Amino acid sequence: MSARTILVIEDDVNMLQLLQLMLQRQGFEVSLASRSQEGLDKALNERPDVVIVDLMMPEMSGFEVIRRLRADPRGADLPILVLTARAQPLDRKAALAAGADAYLSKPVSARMLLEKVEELAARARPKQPSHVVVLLSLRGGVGVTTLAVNLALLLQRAPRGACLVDLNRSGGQVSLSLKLSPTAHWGTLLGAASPPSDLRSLLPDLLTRHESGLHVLAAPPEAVQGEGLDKATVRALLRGLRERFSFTIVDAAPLLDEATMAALGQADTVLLVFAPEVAAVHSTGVALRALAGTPVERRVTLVMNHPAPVQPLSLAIVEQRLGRPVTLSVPFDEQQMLALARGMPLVARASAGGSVPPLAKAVRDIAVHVAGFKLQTSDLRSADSSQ
Amino acid sequence: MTDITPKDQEIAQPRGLLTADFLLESDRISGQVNVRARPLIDQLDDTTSSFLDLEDVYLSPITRPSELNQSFPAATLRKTAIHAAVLTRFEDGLSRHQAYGSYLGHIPHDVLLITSRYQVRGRVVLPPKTQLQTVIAAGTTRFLLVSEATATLTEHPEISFAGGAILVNMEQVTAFCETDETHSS
Repeated sequence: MSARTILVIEDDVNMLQLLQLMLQRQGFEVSLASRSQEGLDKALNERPDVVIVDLMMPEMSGFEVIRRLRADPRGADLPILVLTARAQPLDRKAALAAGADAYLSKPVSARMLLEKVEELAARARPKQPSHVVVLLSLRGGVGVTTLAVNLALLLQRAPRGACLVDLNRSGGQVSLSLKLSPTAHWGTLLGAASPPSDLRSLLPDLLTRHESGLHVLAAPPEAVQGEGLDKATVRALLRGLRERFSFTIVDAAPLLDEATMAALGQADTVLLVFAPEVAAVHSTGVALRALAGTPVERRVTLVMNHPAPVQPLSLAIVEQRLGRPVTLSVPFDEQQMLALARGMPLVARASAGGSVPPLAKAVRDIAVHVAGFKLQTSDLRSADSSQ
Repeated sequence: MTDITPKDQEIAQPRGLLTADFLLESDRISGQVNVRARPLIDQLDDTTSSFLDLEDVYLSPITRPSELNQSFPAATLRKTAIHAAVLTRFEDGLSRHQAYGSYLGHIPHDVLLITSRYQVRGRVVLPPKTQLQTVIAAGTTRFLLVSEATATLTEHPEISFAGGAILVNMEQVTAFCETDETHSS
């Protein structure tokens, strides 16, 4: 087994050397960065088991380093320990909200520091690939939940399974689509500390298991008044889910609120779903402009869904209006309404036998696009096995 | 000989440098004070100098105290502008003439000190029979050591700073209240 690696980002060279010596004695491989940008680059490229970061650094504060790490999928799941001379509770709170996993203020005993590093290294990111997919539309009724549910059922066949997260605040439709009556949902986190310090241990109790093996983090059954989950909690949730599942599929609310933006920041792939009608294409343009220039932009794939048999706009017109190609298209499937009524998504029906519905085939194409090499071909073929 | 294992080391600031938060009218200034020659409170009380030198300085607006907006390799603070200096450890607030434990037999008083921007709650320890008023009136020291203390921004009570010791600038204090019965130690 290779040695676990710790990256230390700290502008005090003497402190760097002290930490290097101490960590090496404990058998860690140690990587050092005395400048923030250098540390950020190393963290994203080397993906160490734990990142130790100082807060007070001249070129870029530790807060900003953490925020940038969490905004990049390569850094979204890295365990981050803040080691700083800033000892105020408000600094601790700000660091955890930015995405740190643990916080120690100097002076601290070496024993305590090593225990914390060991703890974080032990729960370091899974070595297996983990992928977060966010499905989003700023216009409701274009079939986002249908695609999310079917995609999640297909990706559930990956080695470590999948989890479907319903971030909608108006009595999410995911449970309805899967005929689930979840007793747990993320609404119980509202009003709690952000993020809850014991979220990791709480997470299993928040999930509901579908008969397919798919896990669901359900939305509250009733409409949420006011704000939904905040950024820090969404980030922490998705990091926790990355550790457990090969795929996390997020059915995002149709607005760019804190929760959606946090999910987008964690996403490896963003599927921007729309129907070929004027209002949906317009809202897709709005979303693209909102994300322009952000790291999220390059992860966006346009998915044109056909929730109705006749749609007014052609592919050519849509692409012209959006100024970019539509990568994936999902045909109208007349069986979808029945599937929804039965609580048996079409992908699940395809697995159970019978002909493969058009929507299930399209979802398979989406899965291949999303998963790429990360999902074994055989896992996807099982959707065809009943043909 | 005591066997010091690596795990028993303390990860701290470089020897002789003390990190403190200085609370000013509109800013939180975090920086390191060179305390090799003299403890911080002795430097603050030194009437021959109106200024305090800091190294590795970080500036935050007091209403957004977790933001690190600007940093400087060095800075000089006007002592009279400091409302309070927040220290993590009580012993870092002691003067050269005091030692940890030298307060044995003294009487602790729970106090509230009010400046134009902050309310500092904590404990001061005084020799027996010392009247609190004399602490203000005597004027022998500029800064008062308040232990187990919290400084709260009056207009934003959600913003507060806690420390093993807070050194309060008595020139900034407009009210000095005893908040509890005197404890016997």
